[in-house]
Amino acid sequence: MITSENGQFEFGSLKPGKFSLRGAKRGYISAAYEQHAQFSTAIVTGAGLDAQSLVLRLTPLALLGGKVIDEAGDPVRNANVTLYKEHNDADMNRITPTGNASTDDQGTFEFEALAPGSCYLSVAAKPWYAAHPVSSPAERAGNPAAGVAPSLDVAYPTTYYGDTTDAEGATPILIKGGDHLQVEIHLNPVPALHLVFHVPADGQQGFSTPMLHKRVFDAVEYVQSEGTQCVDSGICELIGVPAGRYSVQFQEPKSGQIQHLSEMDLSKDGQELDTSNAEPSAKIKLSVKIPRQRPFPKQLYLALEDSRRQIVAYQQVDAAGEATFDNLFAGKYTIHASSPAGSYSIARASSQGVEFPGHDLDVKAGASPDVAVSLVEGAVTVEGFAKKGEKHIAGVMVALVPKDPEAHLDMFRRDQSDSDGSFVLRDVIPGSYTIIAVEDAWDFQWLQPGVLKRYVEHGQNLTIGELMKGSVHLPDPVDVQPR
Amino acid sequence: MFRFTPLVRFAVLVLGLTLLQPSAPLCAQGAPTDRSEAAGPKFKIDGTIVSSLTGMPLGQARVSLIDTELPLTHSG
Repeated sequence: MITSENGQFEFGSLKPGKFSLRGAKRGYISAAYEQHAQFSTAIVTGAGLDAQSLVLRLTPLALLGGKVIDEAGDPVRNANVTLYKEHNDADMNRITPTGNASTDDQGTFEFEALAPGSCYLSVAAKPWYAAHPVSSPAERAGNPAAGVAPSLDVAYPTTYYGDTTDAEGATPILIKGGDHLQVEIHLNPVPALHLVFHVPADGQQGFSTPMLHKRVFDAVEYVQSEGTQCVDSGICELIGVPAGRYSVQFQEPKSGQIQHLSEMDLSKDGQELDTSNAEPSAKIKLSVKIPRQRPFPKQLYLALEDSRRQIVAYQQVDAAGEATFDNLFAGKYTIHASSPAGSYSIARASSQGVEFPGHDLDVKAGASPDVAVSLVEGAVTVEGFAKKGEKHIAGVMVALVPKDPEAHLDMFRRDQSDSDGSFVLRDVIPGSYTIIAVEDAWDFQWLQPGVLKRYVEHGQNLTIGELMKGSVHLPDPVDVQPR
Repeated sequence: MFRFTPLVRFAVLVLGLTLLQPSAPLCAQGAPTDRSEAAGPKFKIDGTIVSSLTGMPLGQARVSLIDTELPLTHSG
């Protein structure tokens, strides 16, 4: 239905039940009643329940625009502007790219329909006058280049709002609902590097260009150079690269295997990308085991998440119950399992006969281990009420906290209590838990160690057995704790 | 109320891939649901939509009500 001019709405003739109430209007962020992230308070109708005079709040969208200006004060056209948003993903604050725009011939850009929050801007651009001459053997010997002035062999380093070239020093932009903000970002050129790398001299096998990556907030991004040029037999160079700290990936010509050089400072013109310390990539074969009592899910996917909690690879498990991951870099990974048929968690894993609990893998460079993983299915729904004294409380955060929470992040379940104080926690994995209800806790960094500790001490313990299915109704309400 | 599982974005990807499978049954027809209203007391839900910024009522906003047990039963 459409609200009247005074914003009022009414739904009548409703049976007793539980309803999700949502509102939408052009220029506002659509939202459910008392929405917090993906949770909201459902409205429960029935005898003795009040579902009237509700206030559904919608937040107006914001706009962020600006201008990119060069060292001469002139607008920079065709600059690539990236918008990063700070958001709470799986209840951990992260800053990730959420939009791109190009500047027009006035150097302006705009991001519209933005939700409130903290964000950052970066600009990647090329000076319109830049030229990158091919290095001669004389230059590589330290003699100046002829023909092109050094002032033209320059690049703009990626520059963040606040006019810094380091993401860590970027100035956050706080956007409130309905804001129309305008910002300026100033670019300054720096000498462009010519980075030397070696390729097979015979030209028979071809070669791949090294790829530079840079850490930007919570992600690692590919950095585009101005190109590659071969300057001598077996010697090529990347051109137009501003100095900075980069990691490098390249393909080993003979084996085709991806190799990885960890972060290094690239700061000297003519610097050689020394590949002698490169780490070969690893390969992991995962074999899935399901408890005998349960059917093997029709479609099952496995994913690897790195230590920065980014999913770096995923595969569908084949008919033999296996999935293979190639070209992995050394490091710690967490295995996740998922299926449209249900919720799964890794109960334990084993490699070469050695069993280890949980789902964390330490992958060595060049290794190719076979790992067996045992899955456990989340087939239980936990239902109950949140109560403070004699009163059922709506809108509180209810969390099912596993024992040893830091090691079992995938076992957490949360809900927001509905208007009658009821909650439902679905797809609960077998294990031991404490269930808590906390007021005004939606901005908690609840996955961070220790944040929930003092609430867990006053929570209600609950164990879900490996063979349990269906719904568990908590006989006692969960006491709502103050923040 | 839980609206959208957040735990692993990967799960969403999996669901998307599943829906893209040509062999996946699209809009499978189940037995018709008995939608007749049971006799008994009736209730109402009412209220106001406002701007979170100014508190001013928002006319011409769209409101929908979805029975969480029977999807899409009562949307406006």
